[in-house]
Amino acid sequence: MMEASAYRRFPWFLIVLMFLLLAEGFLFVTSAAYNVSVGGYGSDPYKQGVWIAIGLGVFAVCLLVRYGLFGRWAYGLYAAGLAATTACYVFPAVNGAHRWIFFNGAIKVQPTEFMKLILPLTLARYLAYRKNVGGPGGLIGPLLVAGIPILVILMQPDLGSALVFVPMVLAVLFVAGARKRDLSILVTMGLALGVGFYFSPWIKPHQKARVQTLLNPSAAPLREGYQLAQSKIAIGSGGLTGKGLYNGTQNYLGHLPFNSTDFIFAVIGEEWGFSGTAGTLLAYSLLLWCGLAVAARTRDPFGRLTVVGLLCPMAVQVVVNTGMTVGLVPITGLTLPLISYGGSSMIATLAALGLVCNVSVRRPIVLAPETFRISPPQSPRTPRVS
Amino acid sequence: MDGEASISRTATVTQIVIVLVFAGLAVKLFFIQVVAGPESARAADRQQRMKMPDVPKRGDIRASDGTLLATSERVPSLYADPERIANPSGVAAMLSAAIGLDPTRIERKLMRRRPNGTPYRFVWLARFLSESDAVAVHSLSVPGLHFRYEYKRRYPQGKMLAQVLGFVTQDEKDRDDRGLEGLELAFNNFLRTTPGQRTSAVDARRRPIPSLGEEGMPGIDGHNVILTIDPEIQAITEAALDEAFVKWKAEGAIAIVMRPYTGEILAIASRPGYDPNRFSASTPHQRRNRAITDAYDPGSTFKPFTVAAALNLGLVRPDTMISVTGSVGGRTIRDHVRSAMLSVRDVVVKSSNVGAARIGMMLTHQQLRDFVVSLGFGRPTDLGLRGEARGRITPMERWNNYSQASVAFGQEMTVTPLQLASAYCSLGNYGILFRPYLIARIEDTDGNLLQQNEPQELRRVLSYEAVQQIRPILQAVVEEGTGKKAATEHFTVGGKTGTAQKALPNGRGYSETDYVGYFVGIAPVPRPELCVLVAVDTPHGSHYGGTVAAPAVSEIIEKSLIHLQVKPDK
Repeated sequence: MMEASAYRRFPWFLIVLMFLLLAEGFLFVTSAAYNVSVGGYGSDPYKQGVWIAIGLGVFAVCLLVRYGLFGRWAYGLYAAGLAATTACYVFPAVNGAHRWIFFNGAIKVQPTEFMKLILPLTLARYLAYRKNVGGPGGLIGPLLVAGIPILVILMQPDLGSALVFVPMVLAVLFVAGARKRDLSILVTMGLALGVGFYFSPWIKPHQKARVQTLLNPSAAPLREGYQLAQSKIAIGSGGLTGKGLYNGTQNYLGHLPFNSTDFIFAVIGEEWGFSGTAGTLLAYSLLLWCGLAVAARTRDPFGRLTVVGLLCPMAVQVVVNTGMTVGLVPITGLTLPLISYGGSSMIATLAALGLVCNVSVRRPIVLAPETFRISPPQSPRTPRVS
Repeated sequence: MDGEASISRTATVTQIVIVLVFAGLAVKLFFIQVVAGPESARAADRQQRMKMPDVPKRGDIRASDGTLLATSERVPSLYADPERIANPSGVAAMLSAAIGLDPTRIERKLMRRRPNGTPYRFVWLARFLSESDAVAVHSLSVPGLHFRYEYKRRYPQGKMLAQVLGFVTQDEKDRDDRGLEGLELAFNNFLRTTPGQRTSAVDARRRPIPSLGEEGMPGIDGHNVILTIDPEIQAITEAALDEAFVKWKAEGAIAIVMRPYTGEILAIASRPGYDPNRFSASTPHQRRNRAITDAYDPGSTFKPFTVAAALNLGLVRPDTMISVTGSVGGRTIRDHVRSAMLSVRDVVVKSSNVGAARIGMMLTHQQLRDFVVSLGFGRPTDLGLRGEARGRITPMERWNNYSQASVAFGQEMTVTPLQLASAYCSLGNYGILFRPYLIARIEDTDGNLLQQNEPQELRRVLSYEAVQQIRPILQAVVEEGTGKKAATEHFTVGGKTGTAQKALPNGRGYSETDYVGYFVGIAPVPRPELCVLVAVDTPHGSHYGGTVAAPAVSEIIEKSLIHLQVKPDK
């Protein structure tokens, strides 16, 4: 368990930000749940409270168990996660996608959310002491490890979630010592593949429409464009200080689709105005800043890779979710971590933050700075002189 | 380069990149929220509030017992919010399949755009649907299709009282709330609504949320007009009239039932008729309310008045013998009565033209003309309906012996059936003439009385004694004279037949072939409760009022008095 000195290394500021965001999320899930025709809030706020409570329990577990153990369990978790992700196909599709596992009809779990936790751990475990990621051949292993679940998720189909993993894999590889040149080639190939995919027959019309809506929102005022237009009206009509919590008319009159999940940021924009949206973004950026500081301070390669791998999907989700509400990013089903309604996402996010804190607390004490490199040995062709 | 330093530099760069990305998002948000905020606020307000007409209900027209004669029913009308309809041709096809609307018309309506290219937010697709059609459309659950309740005018009694009630416009403007004919037109200012407007918060599916407050002026319902019509007597009257109308293949037929001692019109009917629910299928001929628009010579039905005037002035007694041969005022009058002398009583009972003319000549010109005017002839009765004829009386300055003789047996003047029935009421009411009226009262929707018509005594036209003398004569007409077919099983009837030649359309003389057959009666004779007029215009097969009109009067009197629970006097 934690030593006394651990308190000093505990990322208190990160935790404060996390609780602030959780509280904000709970308030806005409540606001989004208000049904003006019925005049009640339904059961969503209650359920969200339960998810937060469970999530905080998981957070505590992830904080208290020595994080090295998670590395030891990583492959087992990977196998379980992959199995669960694949098992979604057994369950009926919702809106044409197999993304959930249902338990006795009432509870549904989205394994993809937990893969955001498991895949970084697996990659970190795989890469922690590997010396050969510096060469192109060394990338094949990690790309396979990451590629299989990504492909499964892509086929569910869940393009948005699949794309969240891509920057994470690149970031982890980069931190593990992969060369920028190799990664650039990988990105270029990925983009070419993506463009090819866009013009291929496999892409769903609604996915294509989302991209087109982004390029020209006014062309499609219905369907895709409708969501974006309503989101922008909601955010815009909030002005500088907003209409006040629970007073968002766009929100409670039902103009915002998915107002407790995908578009909850638009509710924040409407009810708390620019001060609310800017404040929320500030909180997220400080949270990520603190998280990255943990990664930078950790000299244990597994810990560092884990933290980077966990923070990256979170950062991507925040940017994509907020970006889509203002029309900078195509509309995807990505939630806003810590704020959006949803059990899987909430538990996985809190577990990830628990691990980040765990790494922060348990990183080895540095008495004297000691050279530590997880990058590969210097290549003879490019001698380095320090 | 130190690896650890490189790592921390990379971390710092990443941290700054993240902050910059978030700052970029914040800049975008600043533009959306602060710079373009007011515009979004207006857009939000536009889509969150909806102006809706508050549709009030047009007033009812009711019979004296409350029976609905004309009323407005709430019916659903279908409209679309084309902005929310993604697939106009698909929706048009669905509506066509569900309730049989023309798909090309619906699609055209859904595709119409404002001049700036944006879709409309409100387009009528089908007004006045049946409940079952509305349910069929509702079950399609197509977003963007909505219902609004409107009031549709309906005439629950069908053809009954059609020409009196009239009908309302079907134009888009004031649809079903602007009278075009009959009472609907004449009392439009009472019946019509004052439309209001509400601004209500609406949800994304444009359903109003009244709990969020509404503003605007509520609409005001129209007032109810309650008639003096007794629906039972009206039905009896229409049935009897139909029978005569069909049996005699007549061009037209009229029936009026009045209460002599008040002037209330209990029934009024005109044939041919029409169904105001489908007025567009009717002809002007069918829509004419002949009881007030058509003026005919009263013919023999006027003879009792000539005799009553003479009795009233004490010029004759009922048994005074009158010569019914020779010329009157230097003029030969055609007469079907083949006797030398008749009593005054028999002049009426046998309907002698010469006798009536000779009695008429006993009065001065002024006396007879003043009497005719006092009966209400030559003036509209001011019933309240439009298009009422006044009838024609020769002006005093052109009134001569010829006029005097002609008027005495019912020529050289025209009267509307209503004027004639009203005049007969004075015989049923001991000589006092009441103003005929059709509107009992006008109430607002809460039942508050706005106007009430009381029986209005116009004047005494005959003395009590004169009426007491003329009534047995009228009864004799039915019991032994030309009006035998007007007799009823349970009640004594007094009345007079009339067979008037129709004036030629050019105003010169009379038609040899076209007649109006009349019977006007009062019953029961001792204390008359009803005055009934039936006129059959241009009957075929017979033209005598005693043949074509009297049977209908008999039926109306018998059934109506039983309905009114009048004690039989026979």
